Amino acid sequence: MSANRKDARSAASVVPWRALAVALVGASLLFAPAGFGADPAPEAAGAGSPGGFGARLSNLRTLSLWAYPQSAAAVRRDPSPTSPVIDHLRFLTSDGQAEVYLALRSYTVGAATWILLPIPGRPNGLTGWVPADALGDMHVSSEYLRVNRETLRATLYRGGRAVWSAPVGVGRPTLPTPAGHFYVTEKLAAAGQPLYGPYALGTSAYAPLLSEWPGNGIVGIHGTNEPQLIPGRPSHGCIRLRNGDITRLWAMIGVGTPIEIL
Amino acid sequence: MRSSALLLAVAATAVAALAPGATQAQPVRSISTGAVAGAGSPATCVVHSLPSFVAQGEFALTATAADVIEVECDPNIYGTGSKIKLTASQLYSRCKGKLIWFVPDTTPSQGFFKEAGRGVSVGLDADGNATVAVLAGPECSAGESLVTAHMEEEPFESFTTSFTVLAPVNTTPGVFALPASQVEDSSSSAVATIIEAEFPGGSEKNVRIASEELYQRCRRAPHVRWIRMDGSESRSEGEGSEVREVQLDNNGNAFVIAIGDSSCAEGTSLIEADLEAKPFTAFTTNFTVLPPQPTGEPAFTIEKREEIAGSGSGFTSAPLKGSLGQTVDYQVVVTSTSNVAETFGELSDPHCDPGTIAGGPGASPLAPGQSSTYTCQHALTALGTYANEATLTGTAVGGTPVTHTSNQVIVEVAPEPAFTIEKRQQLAGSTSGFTALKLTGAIGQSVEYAIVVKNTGNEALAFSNFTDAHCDSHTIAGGPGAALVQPGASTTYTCSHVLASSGTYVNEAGVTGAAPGEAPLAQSSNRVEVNVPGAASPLSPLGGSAPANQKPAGEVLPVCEASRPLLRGASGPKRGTFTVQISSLGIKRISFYLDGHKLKTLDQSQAKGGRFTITLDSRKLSYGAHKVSVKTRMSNASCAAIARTGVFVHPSTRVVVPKFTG
Repeated sequence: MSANRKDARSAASVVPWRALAVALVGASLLFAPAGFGADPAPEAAGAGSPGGFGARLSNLRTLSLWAYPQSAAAVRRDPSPTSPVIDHLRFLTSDGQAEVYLALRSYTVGAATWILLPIPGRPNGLTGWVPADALGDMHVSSEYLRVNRETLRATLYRGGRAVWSAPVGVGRPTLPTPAGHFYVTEKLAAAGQPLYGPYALGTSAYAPLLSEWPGNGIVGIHGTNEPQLIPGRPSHGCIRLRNGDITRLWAMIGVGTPIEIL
Repeated sequence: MRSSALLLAVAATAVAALAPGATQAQPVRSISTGAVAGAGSPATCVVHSLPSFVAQGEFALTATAADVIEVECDPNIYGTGSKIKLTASQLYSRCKGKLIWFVPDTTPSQGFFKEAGRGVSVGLDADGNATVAVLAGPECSAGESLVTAHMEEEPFESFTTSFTVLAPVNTTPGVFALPASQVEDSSSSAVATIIEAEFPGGSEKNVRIASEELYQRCRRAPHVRWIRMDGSESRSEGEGSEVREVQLDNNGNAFVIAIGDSSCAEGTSLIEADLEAKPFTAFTTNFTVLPPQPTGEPAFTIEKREEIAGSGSGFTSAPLKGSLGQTVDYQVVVTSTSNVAETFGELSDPHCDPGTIAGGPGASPLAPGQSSTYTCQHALTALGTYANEATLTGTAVGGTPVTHTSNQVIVEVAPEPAFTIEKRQQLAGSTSGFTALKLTGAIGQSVEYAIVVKNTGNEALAFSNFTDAHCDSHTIAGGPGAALVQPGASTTYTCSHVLASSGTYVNEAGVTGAAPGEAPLAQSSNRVEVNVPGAASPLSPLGGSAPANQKPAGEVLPVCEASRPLLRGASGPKRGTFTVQISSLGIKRISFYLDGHKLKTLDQSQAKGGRFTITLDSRKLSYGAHKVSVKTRMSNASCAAIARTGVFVHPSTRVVVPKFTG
């Protein structure tokens, strides 16, 4: 996790511990095994379900909205200025790139509109609400990347049509690649370390068992210097592609693209 | 020759050479390239030119050479007696036209028939084989010569091998037999060898060469056939356990070829050579008939199939239709049809994108009947037809490399003009962005529309005839103009509409796209809707319940409301120079600030194209977030001043060592 996330915890720590516990429990309700998964009932009101507030903005398949942050706003458990703070928006990823956020839902209450976001970090699947003006212009993505850990194949869809597919290497059984819904947070040209091949994509997923890893264990999608291990389960949680495949994917995919790891 | 079902095969092998005046022949480097049949299928015949045995010329300048050429054909394809023409034109020229072919008669006890010239026509035996000895010289120049074999009946295939005449070399006294280096057939041992005897000081004396053991070991009459080429250059043949009166040349050398048929039992036989005159010197050597073994020739099939990546339609060799941006997955299945293990070189496939070839057996040999699959990909980046085939070379131990090319697969990327048009809206002054959802506005508010036209086809398109019934006059902007929009790219039209009265505003846009020289294609966008209640109305940028932003019914504030523009361009990552803009409508003077420091103040006269614009260079800034803000003085003093901010990020370089788990 980045320093910002640590800051968030520091901020949360000023909240009475009982309130913090309630906030984290509430937050934990937001991530299911499928993370911030696609909402099958887009307009369902959120009675008893915080994630169900307001209107759906992204279906995470063919239409997804994302934005750059406009402030280091507090991310709250519920769409209310009095709701517990569970994180803050960040401007930079741990690799120094511009952080982006997917917009899952919007909810207008009183004079304010709130946006529900997935929060990159550990544990995976955490979501929270920020005021709409904490985000810049919404960008639209019609892409969706699916990674199937069983068939060891990744497929990129554009407007619902598969436009790219390739075999992948995923985490070994002791260091599995996490399942769930995530998104592309950054695009990097890897340098100085052949392990990552020529290009890498940062994701909002974190390896469950590698919290001490530099960068806090971000699951990347990258090339490799061991193409013979693909397809397979050779990684520490990252998703490895042959260098030709990552080169093509890198050129096709944008930040903010939803990822589903099955 | 192997056949697909039975390893019948066979053939005699051996080599021989005679050398008038030579000292001794030497075991020769192995020769020959293998046979090639019709591309894409296993060879129906293989031609061997066996390791040759070269004798020196009398004055060590030229050579007398002997070769045994063996043809092995699939007996399931070529019947007994099928004719094949063996030709060695290069050797004929190299040896000044002195070439004699010795062909074992297919009828036992008939001996050989001889034929001089560039080539000879022979018939295949019941196993699909033919063996021919050729004696050349004595004035052959050293070098390699091509030997060809043409089937004289359908399907008229051709095969090649080569034979090398080595330079003369001094040898030592004794008797020597060329090892039976290539005895084949899985069920019998047809053998041949060349025997050379050298007796110092025995010039022009006669020698007897004999092998009673070999005679007995080859059980079927005539047991052993001898081809003699002595110092008198008389060339003859005979049968039995010995050959007499083989005359030594001036250097004391003599050569004979011994050929046994497929009845020869494996094992070692003693070969004797003795002078038939004083001092009656005798030498002995051994010759071993090897156990039957299959031909070590590679043979395989190679089949190429394709699939549009992600289509799930399965691999096929049938032509496919693809689209730009798609990737074609190829599979190349190699199946060994050899009777021995074989290894493969690198797969050659010109349409595989660099670095995508994977799979295959690698350095591991494929066992007979075993298959292996190579894979690769190719991204479709241009219109046209992608015809493609793979090439692979297989090698077996002791055999000669064989190269096959796969079937051809085709992907056609045909022109497919297509585009989408998507209309979104937002209430002016809202910060929540454009949406296709229904909005609720108030009289006097302005609705901003963004119509995104995206080229989803695979051809560049020109767009025209943009229409939008609810765009207010002269507010339509953007679009590509006369420029072509490339595949995958998009263009955005913008316009606005002031909500002048209550009611429901349902609206859609339309545009016409056409590839140059092709028929135009018109499309309409989705419909967007703004509801303006007659009474006070909430404002709901994204749907759901809304804050109160009540305006008196019928009150129109076009100036103030329409001049609540957004700050554009101050968001997201900025790696170099970039511009920040804001509409100048209704603004008399504006000041830009960066991280709280005033950058510039502009007045209305400095607006261009209806916008105030400043240019920033993020490279001069530290890494991290930076805030751009504006403060305004409005032209209409009754309108409140505008304050807008935007935050952009100066990110670090994209070229980093990622902090990923790997």
